[in-house]
Amino acid sequence: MIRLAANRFGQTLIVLFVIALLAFVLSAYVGDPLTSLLPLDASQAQRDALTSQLNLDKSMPERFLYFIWDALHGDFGISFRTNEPVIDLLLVRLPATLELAFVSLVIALAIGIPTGIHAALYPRSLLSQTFMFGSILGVTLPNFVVGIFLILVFSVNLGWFNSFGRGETVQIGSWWTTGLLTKSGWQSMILPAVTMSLFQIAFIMRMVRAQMQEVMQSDYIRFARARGVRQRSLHYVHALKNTLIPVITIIGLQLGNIIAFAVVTEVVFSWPGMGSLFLQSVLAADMPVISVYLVMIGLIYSLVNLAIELIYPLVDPRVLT
Amino acid sequence: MRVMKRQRDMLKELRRCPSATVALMVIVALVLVAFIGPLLISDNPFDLINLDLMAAYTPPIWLDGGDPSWPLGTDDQGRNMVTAMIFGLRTSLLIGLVAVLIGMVFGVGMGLISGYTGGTVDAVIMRIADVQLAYPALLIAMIIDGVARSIKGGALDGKTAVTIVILSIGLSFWVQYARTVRSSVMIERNLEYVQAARVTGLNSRQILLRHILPNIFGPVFVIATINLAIAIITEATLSFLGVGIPLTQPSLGTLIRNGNTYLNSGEWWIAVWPCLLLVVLVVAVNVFGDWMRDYMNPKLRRGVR
Amino acid sequence: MMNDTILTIKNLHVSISVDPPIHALEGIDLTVQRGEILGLIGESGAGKSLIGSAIANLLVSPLQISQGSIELDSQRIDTLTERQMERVRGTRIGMIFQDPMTSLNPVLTVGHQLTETIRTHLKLGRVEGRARAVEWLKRVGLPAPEDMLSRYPHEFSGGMRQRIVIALALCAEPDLVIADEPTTALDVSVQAQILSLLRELHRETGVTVILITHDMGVLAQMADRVAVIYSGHVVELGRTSEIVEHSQHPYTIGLMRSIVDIDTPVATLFQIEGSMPRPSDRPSGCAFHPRCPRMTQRCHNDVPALEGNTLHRTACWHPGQTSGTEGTPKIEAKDAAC
Repeated sequence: MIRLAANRFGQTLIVLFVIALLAFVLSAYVGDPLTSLLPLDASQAQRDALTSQLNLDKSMPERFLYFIWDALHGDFGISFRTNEPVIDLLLVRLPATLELAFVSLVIALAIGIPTGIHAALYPRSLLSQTFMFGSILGVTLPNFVVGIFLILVFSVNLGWFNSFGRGETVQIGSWWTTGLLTKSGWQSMILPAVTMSLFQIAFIMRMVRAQMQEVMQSDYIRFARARGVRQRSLHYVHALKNTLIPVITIIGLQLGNIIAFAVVTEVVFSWPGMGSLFLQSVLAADMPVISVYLVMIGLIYSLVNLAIELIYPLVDPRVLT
Repeated sequence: MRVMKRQRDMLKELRRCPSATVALMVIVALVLVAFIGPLLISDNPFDLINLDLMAAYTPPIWLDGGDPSWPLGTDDQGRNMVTAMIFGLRTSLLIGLVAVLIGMVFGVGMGLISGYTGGTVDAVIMRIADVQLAYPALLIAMIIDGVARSIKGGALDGKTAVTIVILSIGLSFWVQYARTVRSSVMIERNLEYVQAARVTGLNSRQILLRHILPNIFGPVFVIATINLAIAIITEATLSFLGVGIPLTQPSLGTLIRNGNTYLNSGEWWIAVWPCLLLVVLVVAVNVFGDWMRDYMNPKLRRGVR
Repeated sequence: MMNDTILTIKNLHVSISVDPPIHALEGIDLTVQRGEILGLIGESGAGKSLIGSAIANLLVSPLQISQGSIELDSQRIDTLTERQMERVRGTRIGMIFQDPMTSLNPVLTVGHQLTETIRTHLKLGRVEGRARAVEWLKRVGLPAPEDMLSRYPHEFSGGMRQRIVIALALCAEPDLVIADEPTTALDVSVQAQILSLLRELHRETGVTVILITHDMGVLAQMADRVAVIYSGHVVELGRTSEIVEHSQHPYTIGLMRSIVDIDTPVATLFQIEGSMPRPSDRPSGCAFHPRCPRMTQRCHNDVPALEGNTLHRTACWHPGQTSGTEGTPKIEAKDAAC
């Protein structure tokens, strides 16, 4: 078990290293920090100062080491666009994106799992057929189209929810701001969270359904039935546990998609999160931010998958022996 | 002739599934409209000469202020929504198809190399594939766009933008093809060793190709159909965000982006029609792709038991 | 030993409802006496497992009971709802399935699966249920039963898992147990152990057993009576000794002749020519007639019914023990050269 963990950990480190290298190359050699960060009439002294501050005169390996060192200390460079430290830009926007992602995930699980179970157990019911049809739409509709329609119906026409920004936020601790404690915060959160969760709901529903159908055909379910195990236990104890275990892994793999959707959703709803920051940076060719984003996505993906692989043996008893 | 029979069998099976048949018909209709339509339309609405600003913001025909010459209304520059969408549809389809082709060629190629060469080359390629899994096409395209802008020092011209979009979407697809082809190659390679006595060493590569390519055609085609829908959506999303196809030769996504600014002020049709057309296209491609995937899946073959 | 009937199967048809319907089982008539071991023998696809599934109402769609009745203790059980069957299965009818590697839920402990069955049917509290579970594990011969409760199925060997399966099937104290090929998936060395365990438990509890197998050797050791199943029909039924030593139906005769033991000369390996038809291709009249040395026009036209006495019944228009070389023309001794 320890050996397995160490192995996967090692592989993850290698992957992260490669990504970091790539990000370094991008941030160090693409784009010109001197022109971006200094006004046109900057003096030579100012240029020299910045050159030395950013280590532009050092060799590549040295710069790479500084890059890693700085990153580990939370220094991700300076944004070309706003001249602020990248880390500050990120931290301000991090809570917005995390809250949005979290709420949408909760919605997705709360709706996706029960509907998937129902569709698996009662495939011919009208409700199930509706769910399945809806899931096709959920999986195929482009994210921003959904957002636009939700805005048209619920914001422009019905006026129930807000389609712009986060609403009122409350500061917690030194830097976290939350929109979950205010009414306007929730009013602004609902539409973007639902938009983001739609794909996930459809995806989870289909996966749970497929997996549960397969499990219900298994010999051990048949034997449990032959022993007179009550239907409720059969469905929600005997079958469900076997159904959900593989679903967990797949959700981890979907993380990349979720992060991508966050970008689009945040743009559609003018949500001040990291996704919209990323778009602004791309449009402005703000390389430091772009390269940090590159590493961050890879990091999140690798860590989540590593966590899932380590948790797996705890939920599936077969893995350890 | 065997190929013809297989297609006839497929058509027969298709007729049994009404939703897939409808989907296919929709796809064919849209393709025809997209590629023949522009030939029939004399005035390209995106040619600046043809702009009629006086007609801007005309609502669809059934609303107050509608005009029969513009049944679905006009946009902010006075373009007829109908013709604008036809041209937009063509762009969307073209980009999607080319992106998928690029991904297919590159992916199949990498799969062949990976499976045939084996060893370190194979390991490296597969590791790269694994890493790429973390990054969806959308993010890859945006990063490349950002890099390109940085290199070019500002906004990108039309041609570069289009190239970047096609390449980045296409390249994000290669992994699936590569994996499928690679496993086919490896199976065939092992078979070859068993038949070592019968196979003359010179023809091994040709035999590989002759055995593999017919086998992978089915799965590759299925992957391609699914990818087409993703390609269209990804391009539309990129254009919507502003890092895709510019307004000079817009795709449906660009049109939606354009219309998005007018949602709150009441000219909803500028965004909604392209949205609907995009949805219809994508749903049709997905439904048909799903059907084809079930059809090609040997485990689901409905034989008499 | 009480000599009353615990299970009565009358004219059972199990079919797939297509047009025309395909009958996997046709006109099955069987009675099972309380406390006996009844063997069902036949080749793969003959329908013997279906009889077991039909009794417990566990047929997998599209198969369903299309005709006939099944009575347990004189009450009809084939018409019960799923809810009602939950109170029959486990506590009145138990089942043992073939493959111990897939019969146990991999993510639930052995203890959980056992205590759940016990407590559901016997209404025991947690402590008592657990104690009963430990008792059963001991009874089926598992060492250190207390520890075994918290283990998962994959930690056990095939033979041990089948013992757990047997414990699960019997722990709710059913009156009737259907064992569907309980030893087929096990190593030969383990098979004998499991069979002797079954025999011992049968002796201790007096439970009635329907033992389904394709292995005549198993039935010869274990069964009081045997029913021979061919292509969805019962073709011969009677005391084990009668069936083995005085077979009347040509199929049974062929079956007995094809059993080899260590002393069989290799040159006389025996095989009935042809193969059993699928339900959809069943011939008219007697299903065996195309392969039968005694075939006449009547066999082609009419389906024979089970005739005979309580000890021995046969469904054949020309029943009778073989007369030495009878049957040789259509039957070839398989050449031993492989």
